[in-house]
Amino acid sequence: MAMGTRSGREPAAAPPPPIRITPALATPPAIAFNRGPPMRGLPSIVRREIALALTVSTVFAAPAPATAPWPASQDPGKHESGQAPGAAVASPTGAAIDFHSQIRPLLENHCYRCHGERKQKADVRLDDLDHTMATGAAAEGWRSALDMINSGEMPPEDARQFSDAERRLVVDWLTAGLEAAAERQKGDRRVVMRRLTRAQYSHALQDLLGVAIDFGRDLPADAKSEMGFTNNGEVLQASSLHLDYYRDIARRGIEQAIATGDRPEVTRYRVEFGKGKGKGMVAGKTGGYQSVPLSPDDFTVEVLGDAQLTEEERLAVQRRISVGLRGSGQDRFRAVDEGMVLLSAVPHREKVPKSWQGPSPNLKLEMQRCWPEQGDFVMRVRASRGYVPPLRMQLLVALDEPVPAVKMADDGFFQRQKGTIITGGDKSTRRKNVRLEGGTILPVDVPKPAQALISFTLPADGFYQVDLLHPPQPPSAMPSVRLSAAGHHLDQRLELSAEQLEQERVITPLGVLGLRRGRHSLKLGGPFFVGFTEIAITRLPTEHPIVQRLTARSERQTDAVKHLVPAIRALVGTRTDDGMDYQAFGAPQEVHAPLGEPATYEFFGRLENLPIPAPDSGDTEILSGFLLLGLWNDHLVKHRDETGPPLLVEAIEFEAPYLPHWPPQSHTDIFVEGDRADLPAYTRKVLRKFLERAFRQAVDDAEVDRYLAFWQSIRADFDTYEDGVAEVLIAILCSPRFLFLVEFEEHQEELSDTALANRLAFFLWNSPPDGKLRELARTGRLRDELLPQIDRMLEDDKAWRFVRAFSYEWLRLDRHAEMTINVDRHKDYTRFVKRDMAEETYHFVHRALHEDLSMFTLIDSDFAMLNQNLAEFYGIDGVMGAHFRPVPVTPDQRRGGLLAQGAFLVGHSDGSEPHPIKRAVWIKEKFLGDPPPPPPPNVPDLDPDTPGFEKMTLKQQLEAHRDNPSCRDCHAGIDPFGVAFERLSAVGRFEPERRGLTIDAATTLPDGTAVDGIQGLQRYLQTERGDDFARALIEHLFAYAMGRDVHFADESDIDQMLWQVKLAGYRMRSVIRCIVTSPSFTRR
Amino acid sequence: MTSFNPLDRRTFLRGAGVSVALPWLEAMTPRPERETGTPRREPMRRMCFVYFPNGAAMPKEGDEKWGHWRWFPHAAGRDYEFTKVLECLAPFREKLSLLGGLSHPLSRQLLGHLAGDTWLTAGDMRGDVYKNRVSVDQVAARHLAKHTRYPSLVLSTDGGVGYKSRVSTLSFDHSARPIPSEHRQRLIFERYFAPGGGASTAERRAQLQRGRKIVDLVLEDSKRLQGKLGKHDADKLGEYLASLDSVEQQIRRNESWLDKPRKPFDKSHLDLDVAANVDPKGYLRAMFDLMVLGFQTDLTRVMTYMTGREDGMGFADKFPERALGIKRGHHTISHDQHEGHWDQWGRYDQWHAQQFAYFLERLNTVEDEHGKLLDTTMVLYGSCCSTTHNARNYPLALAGGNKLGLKHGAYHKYDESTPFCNVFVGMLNAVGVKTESFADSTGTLPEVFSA
Repeated sequence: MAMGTRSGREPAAAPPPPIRITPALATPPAIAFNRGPPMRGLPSIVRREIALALTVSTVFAAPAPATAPWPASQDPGKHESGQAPGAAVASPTGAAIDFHSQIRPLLENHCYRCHGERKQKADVRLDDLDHTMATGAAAEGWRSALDMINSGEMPPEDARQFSDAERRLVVDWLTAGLEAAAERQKGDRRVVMRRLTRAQYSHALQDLLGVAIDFGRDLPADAKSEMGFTNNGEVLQASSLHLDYYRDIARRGIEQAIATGDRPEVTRYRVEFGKGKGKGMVAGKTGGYQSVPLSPDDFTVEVLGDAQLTEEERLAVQRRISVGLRGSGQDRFRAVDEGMVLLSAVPHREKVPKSWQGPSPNLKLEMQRCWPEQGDFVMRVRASRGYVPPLRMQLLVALDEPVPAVKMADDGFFQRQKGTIITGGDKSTRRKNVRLEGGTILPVDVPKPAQALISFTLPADGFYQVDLLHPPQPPSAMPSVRLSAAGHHLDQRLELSAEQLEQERVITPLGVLGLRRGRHSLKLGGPFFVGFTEIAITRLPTEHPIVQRLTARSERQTDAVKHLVPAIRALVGTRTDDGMDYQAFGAPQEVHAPLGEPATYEFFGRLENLPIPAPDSGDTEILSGFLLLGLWNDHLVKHRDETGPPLLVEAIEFEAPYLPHWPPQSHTDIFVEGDRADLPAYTRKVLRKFLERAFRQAVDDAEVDRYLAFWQSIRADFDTYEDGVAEVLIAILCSPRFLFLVEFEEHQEELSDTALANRLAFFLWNSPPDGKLRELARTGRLRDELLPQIDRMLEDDKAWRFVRAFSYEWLRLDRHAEMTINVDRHKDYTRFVKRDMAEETYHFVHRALHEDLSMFTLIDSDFAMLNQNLAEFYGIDGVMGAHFRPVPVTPDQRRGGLLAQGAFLVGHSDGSEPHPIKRAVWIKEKFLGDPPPPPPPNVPDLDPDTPGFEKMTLKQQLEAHRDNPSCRDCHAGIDPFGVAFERLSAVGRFEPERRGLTIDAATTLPDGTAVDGIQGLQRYLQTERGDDFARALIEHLFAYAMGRDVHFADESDIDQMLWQVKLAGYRMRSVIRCIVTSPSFTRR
Repeated sequence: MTSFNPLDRRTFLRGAGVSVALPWLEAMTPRPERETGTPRREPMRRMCFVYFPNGAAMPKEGDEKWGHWRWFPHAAGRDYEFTKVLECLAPFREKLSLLGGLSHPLSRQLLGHLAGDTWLTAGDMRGDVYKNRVSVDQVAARHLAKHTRYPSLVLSTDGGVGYKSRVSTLSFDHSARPIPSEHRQRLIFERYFAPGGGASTAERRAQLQRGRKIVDLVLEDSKRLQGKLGKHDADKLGEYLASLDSVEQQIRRNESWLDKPRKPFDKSHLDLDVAANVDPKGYLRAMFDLMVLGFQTDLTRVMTYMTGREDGMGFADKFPERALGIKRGHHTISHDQHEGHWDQWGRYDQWHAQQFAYFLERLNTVEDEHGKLLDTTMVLYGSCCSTTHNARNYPLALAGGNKLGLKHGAYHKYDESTPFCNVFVGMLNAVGVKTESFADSTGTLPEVFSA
């Protein structure tokens, strides 16, 4: 690591003292803290002294040692004076300086003009900042002032400068004052009792009750601390509303966990697919707008559940179950003898109304008001690899590119041309609900289906494009066309441009028909029919892409994708008017079973967690009350001309509630084995066990007695024994001992072992401790086993809870989640890309921790965590399947590290274009631990009146912005970090040109380092700012682990951790070990 | 809305959302101030929302029907002239503001029918999932619940919640779940106005007592714990204790309602057996009568009423035929382009407005101890699209609340930089909810709501 990267601007008054190396330290003398400016915390001199004076054990070097690295004698909290050794040497004279006579005049001369009563640049005001530094806030303020002076950023270049002597005086005074303040304020660094966050509450209840409901979903959102964490004791409030929710959620959870009465009735339906298989059997068919129903001839419905039904009732249920493929192109699925073939799904367009259609194709059971409303359920899919079905001549498909095959002539009608059959609306027959007005067919009752039949004779077999000439209608009138032909129909809702709306007539391409030669007819109409004047049927040449696709030989197509693997992604949803509100559940499963040897794939879910129709909606509308359960072929493809590896689905089964045992284990976990002859004694046993698990600690007899007495007092109110006990359990789940992390009792000096186990579990699992941790705490062995426990915990699946919760808040993934991308500009940014971008970041952080990689991996890495969908979006080939795995990437692919990940880049864009300032602020906050001040009120926007503004690149616009003196001071320190990302688009793709301009990502960082693009920035961050990054990461993890923001007085502890992390080679787990074994974590 | 049927607990709790799940908490509260018999100086603050589906007739300027059948008047300001549609509101002109040009920004690109799900919520339906929000009435209800027996009354002509994208309720709870609406007037009366309403008093009392026992136990447990804590933690737990206290008080208040007789009222004019599909006018007016009665007896201070569902669903689609003999459904009328369609639509809008005028007239006649109900009750009347499914420029009339600081008498026209939610912020402030924002609001409407 290079030192003094900015030596040219180092303040002359504070030269680094010689580095003292303690003999015990077997590390090269070159190690030193290198914090580039601007700095937070104590001046580098002080920090260096503290750190180096310590005899730091090197146990952090991997592999993990068995003992804690904080010898008791080195614990700064334990020193009699409470003072870290070495700190005192920093400024022997500082304490003697008088503020009023010596410092204040200097500040008046050099600082107050911009940071005084009249102006508060960067929101900083010094003239009324408490010079005794009695509060943490005042000390923080002075600390940043010191950082600015030390780094030479203040006073600004164009202002009057301190003389060397003055600067030394001010720095000495600040240094001494801060040091004393840090000492005084150490006691203020306290953890306040924390309420469980929403996620912690959910996990705690799930673990306790064994019920997989997302319990916390209904709770009010938790507020964020200044550092951005919701698990902060200070900001976690409890309102009466919380109590209302807690009680009702507990009641719901307990009722699901315990079994009173008989085993509930299980609903089970089985639907089998096959061409013609359902002929003569009873099943439903659901129509409606844009529906794509499967003919009941092609599937069977079996009602298999517990219910004893008469023949008539059974048939009634069968009629309520239909199969639909709404949202699917007719050319992407087919009922064949063996079942249903589903080609790879093409994601839906992310624009209403089509965004609710589901990917094409998707296959669903549509169950109307015949499903349970709660409980675990299973969906079983019998499936195998499929094949591309052979060409079907009778076909009707939508166009890939809606380009008319016929032009409009000057007279406003279709141009006559060879190979095109043109028929006027007046020639149509069998009209229903339409009228003829001046040669144009128009609907009478607009919302009702209209109909007009057109007959025509085709000279040859082939594919024909159908174009419609019609009067325009604004989108609000829902202009639509249903084209029915060849045994299919195709619904379209027209979206006409403003220009088209001005015209008398417009042309809309409707689709492509595959037909044999001879006499045919087609129907036009449907609800909200737009009407028409003429229709044109044009034969497409064999080289037309759609004809090529449709006529490709199926064997060849099947052969071309045989190395690919189809997969199943399961969904549950509610039918809405123009699509479905749905959610996928369970992980996708690859289907390797060969054709002819199908296997069964099971998907488990919980109905309450999924978007099922509102129970008891009271609605009796013909198209309401549909629970949708289905799947798509999750080997997603980007274009309709790709088949992908076909999937063959033979059957889908739905079973709910899913009860593998009765009574369920959740019940027997509460009502444990025991002799119920002495009911109070048995109840005491039940309650004690539950109390200890719920309160995460041992409970004494008196406490159990109180709850037992409560049970005695209410048991008569309930019909069953279990219901009476349930009432007690609900009360237990409303106790603060369950809802809060109670760590200290009054006068307790040190954290108990049990409290440490809890703290550790909520840190690394975001959940309560498991039996092992509790056992170690109970037997007093936990403190000796912290390091192996950390490894065990990070290897457990529950570490994902930590990774997700911490990454989401640290990296502001909420911004990615909330971002609405302009899909006109970024058409292939689908919800699946969005989902996978978030997953990329979680998997990346998880891998860094799990594999104990260097923390600088987070800045740049030679691998990216990708699945096929995301890799394809980023333009990386050769990644197959939906699961995430490390993929080697080269520097010029620009995909290494968090900075190159979609979740960051998208979340810090404006939805259409990158947003360099958002990206820069994020880097400064999260990576450098140096959040820029908030913009002043009434900050002017980028000024579009600047000459030529429209034609500037954003970088040039920012430069223009910086020319504005009121903005320059701050933005000069911010913008360059964002400019480096300019070649990464709003959706995180490499984009060397934008709006016809070559993108310039070259910039000079505030310290004078020139970088070009993200690679340059990554190199700079790793080599020049490594310790700043390490410190920022430690601080954020520390704040998260402790449930409180980093305090001014934590500086020396953080320094020590940084030192240890450095010695351990900046490994990810060394940060965790360092925090967990720190006195703050284990004792205070 | 709360229901006290003798449901088993499972059914009871599984119901659609908080309001159902928490009847014994948010439900009833006495008004100690009124026990003394002296009127309070502060008026009761109420709000109410009345919705009609499918938008309103808005012929373009230049169309020959523009003069008669445009829902909005022709010129903004205080001196506007009603068209035939709203002229029935003339008697309330000084207690009424017409609000033009407003809409929910997130819904503008949507079909008006879908926007109907968001009228009181400003939810986001544009993306891949159905993201609705809490509705404004429920925000107010939570604030006002402590004063009344019920936090709110959620009414519709069709009942239930409908389904996503075509709801039959205007109200969504704090978890954004639809709150089932009630539509059978006799049942509504028996449930909310009859003594003992719905479930037997004994059962309800037992339910409340069980709830109180739990709270007492938790309270005791918390105090015991608090005694063991250091100062900071004890303070933190103090928050929780305070919340337990307030929950306990709420339960006590709820219990005390059980013994309290309802305010006497005259029900001789009520006709609770009108079928919506036979006599729409009678049905709407009976609902409005019930609403007036609810306010008059201070049953609740928040109500929503969805007079019909979007997209031709439910009873209200037949209203034009039953009431005016127009042989088309309301939804069809809203799409029509044949000659004379503006006349049909305009006549229906006019008829509907006349029923609303009846409601205003009743509110302006019936008094409580603070005077005319209308002066302390804000009523927002409107829809979620202007003409055919265009989810912009909602037809909106805001009436009442003169004593709550509202300034009326003008037709205000806004451009699209003013989101509809600004109205909600003003209304929330007027009932005492101290908020500066609701959903995507950017402020309030200073022309109507005093600062």
